[in-house]
Amino acid sequence: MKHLVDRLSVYLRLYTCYIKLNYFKALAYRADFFIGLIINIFGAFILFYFYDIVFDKIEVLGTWDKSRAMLLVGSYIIVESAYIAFAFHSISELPKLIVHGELDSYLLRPISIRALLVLRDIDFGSLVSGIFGVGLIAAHSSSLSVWQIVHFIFALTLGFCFLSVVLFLLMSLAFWWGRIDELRDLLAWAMELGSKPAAVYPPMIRNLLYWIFPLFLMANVPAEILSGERYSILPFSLVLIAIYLLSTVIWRLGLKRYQSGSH
Amino acid sequence: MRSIISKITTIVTISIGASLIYRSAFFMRFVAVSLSLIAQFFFWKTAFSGQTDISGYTLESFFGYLILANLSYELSQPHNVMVSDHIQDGSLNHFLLLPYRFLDLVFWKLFGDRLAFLLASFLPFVVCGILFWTKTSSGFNISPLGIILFLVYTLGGLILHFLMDFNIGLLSFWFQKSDFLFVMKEIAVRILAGLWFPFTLLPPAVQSAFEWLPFQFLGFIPAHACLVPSLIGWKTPIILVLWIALLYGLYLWIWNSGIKRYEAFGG
Repeated sequence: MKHLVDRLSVYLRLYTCYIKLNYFKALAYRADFFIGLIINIFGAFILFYFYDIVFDKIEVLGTWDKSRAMLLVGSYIIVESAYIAFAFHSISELPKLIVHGELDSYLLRPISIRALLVLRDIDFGSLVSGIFGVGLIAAHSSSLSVWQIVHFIFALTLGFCFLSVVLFLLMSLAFWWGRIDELRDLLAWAMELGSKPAAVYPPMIRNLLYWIFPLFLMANVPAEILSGERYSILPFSLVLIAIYLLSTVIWRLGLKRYQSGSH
Repeated sequence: MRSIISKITTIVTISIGASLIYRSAFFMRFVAVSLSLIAQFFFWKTAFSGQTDISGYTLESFFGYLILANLSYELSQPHNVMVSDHIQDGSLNHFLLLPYRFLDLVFWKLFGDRLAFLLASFLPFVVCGILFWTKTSSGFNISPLGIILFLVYTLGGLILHFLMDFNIGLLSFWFQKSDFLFVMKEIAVRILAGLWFPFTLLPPAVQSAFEWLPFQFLGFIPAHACLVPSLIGWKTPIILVLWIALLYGLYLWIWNSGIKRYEAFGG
């Protein structure tokens, strides 16, 4: 138990250092910070505007009205901004480290390499756009219970973890294929499937996106919790654990293949 | 004249050969665009379930529009232009010593790359197109004139898109990072180029504003011209030519000012 607490405190200190370092970086490169901020708010606004225009024309989408769609949009924006702020930049660097043989310096440290890599590069500018998502949800949800809010936050966290683990899994394939930017872009495009209401898809695709490749964790599941349609998210945790284990297996197999003559 | 054509043919041929080596990247891009179109198809299918038309579009014509707009956008994508990389790492030197203008070389290289993309993705696109057209019995027809207009406006879109990205890349003469403008453009075109829905869904005031912007040529105009050639007025090609001239003038200005600042050493 004591060992576990010690390990946790090490990771906590590591992430505190990362946050401080990235905060100073944001202060040093203020233009980058504001540009990131503008881009993300702009991206979030475009998705909002899309749904706004659509619901001006059709009023209802299947069983969905505008308020419910805005809960989906808000959840999507929050998860996407957290993903870009915390995971995207750090994990995207992985193929470069593998191809250039720079992973050595991480392998030598007495800490989990994956924990060391994730959160290394935090983009605070992207995180701020999540506030727009929170605002959308606050404006379109009514009388939420504490239990719903806790569940909602947990679902958002699962959505963020899912994207991060999948990105890590894809980037680990660089051990075999070298540069794999296309796979990262593919994930970005696939995320569009998760930005649409689950009800629009036929049952087969819907089940696939709930239980096999749970892209609906990004926005649909949190929106269902807010609208009182879903009460348990435990099964999704199990799916996420399975994906995490798969990513661990690929990472370990990749490490066995890794060779470098540098440093 | 013959030597100019020979130079262009050489660049385009080499570029096609080089790009086809990385055809798996083209395939990935095709899969990515298909995923996006699948999401949009099911979304709009549900949207149309309660009504026969939205802003004058049936589901078939609406989705046909989306396929054409996204296809046109993909064909006009200035992949691998990387002007800012050449400026920042000093490799622009190599291009300055060649008997080609940097802009021409990069453009014809891109042209070859896009032709290679068309060749590599042609079969999947044709299969998808045939499947879609045979499944949808009515809604719209594509005339030979429509196909010609689609190709002409896509070529216009390619030139515009190239000049936009080239000019953004040239800003690296002054700024360390100009990548953000590419990202902004990528986000903006989803709506400004009509990749998510045609402009007819937008409020009239926004529609009329969009009709003067260059982004419409990256998706909306080629698709619209292909489906309903008669609705493309005389104003549209003039706006296209004016935007190309404006962006080309901007290129000359940025290049002439920027090249004076450019410094590099070594080989």
